[in-house]
Amino acid sequence: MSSKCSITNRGRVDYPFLILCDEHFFRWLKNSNYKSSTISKLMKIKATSLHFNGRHNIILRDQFNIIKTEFPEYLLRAAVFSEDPSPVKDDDDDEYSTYIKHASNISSKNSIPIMILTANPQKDSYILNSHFKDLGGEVSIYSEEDAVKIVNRLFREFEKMIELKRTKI
Amino acid sequence: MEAQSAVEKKEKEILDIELAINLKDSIENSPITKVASQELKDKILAIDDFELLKVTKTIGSPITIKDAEILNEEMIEHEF
Repeated sequence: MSSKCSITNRGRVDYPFLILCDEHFFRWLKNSNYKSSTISKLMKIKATSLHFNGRHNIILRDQFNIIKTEFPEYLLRAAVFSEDPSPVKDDDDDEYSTYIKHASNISSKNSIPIMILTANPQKDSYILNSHFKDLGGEVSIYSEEDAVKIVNRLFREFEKMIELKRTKI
Repeated sequence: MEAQSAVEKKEKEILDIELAINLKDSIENSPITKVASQELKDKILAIDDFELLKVTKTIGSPITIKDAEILNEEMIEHEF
């Protein structure tokens, strides 16, 4: 994945995949040892995304509106972009179907893989969801420490960009 | 003067997080972004491009940068 990454002079990175976080991931993160480093990394990734500047890390608006009462909103907004669910959502979809359909829609529209980040208790609800089973691998589900590793993998691209800029000076 | 102070009262002060390189770009290239003092402008321009900044600004026209401090992980740990 990292070989796809390309770097621009303006401090932008062509990250190889997008992130879609749910509220359960943030609640887990809040009580983990990874909180400050992961939030900081999400902020830097969001601010430097070449093709998805300002909206690289997504959360659906309904969940954002819930967790913004639990976290400082200005910090959340710097880490994730809140957007409405895709029009493909059905009225009777649960939160997992909604997230999976949104991820699939974004991935296919933009030809880029997308990783859903969640907490362990919710992971199976995504994996066992019939909409997820129908997908061809463009959407992946990661929880807790594995989700943090996904953020770290993207952040490594950010670090490469800085290293490259500094070697050019 | 009264009209001016009414306008000033309408300005809303917000907190925002920006990467230093993006804030520097706005300061140097955006005609609607002003900095409250030359001292603050010099301070911002001297910060490493890839530091996160906690920026206090008034939104409107112009956008005025009132303060900027480096957002480190200790601050996130404390606030989040």
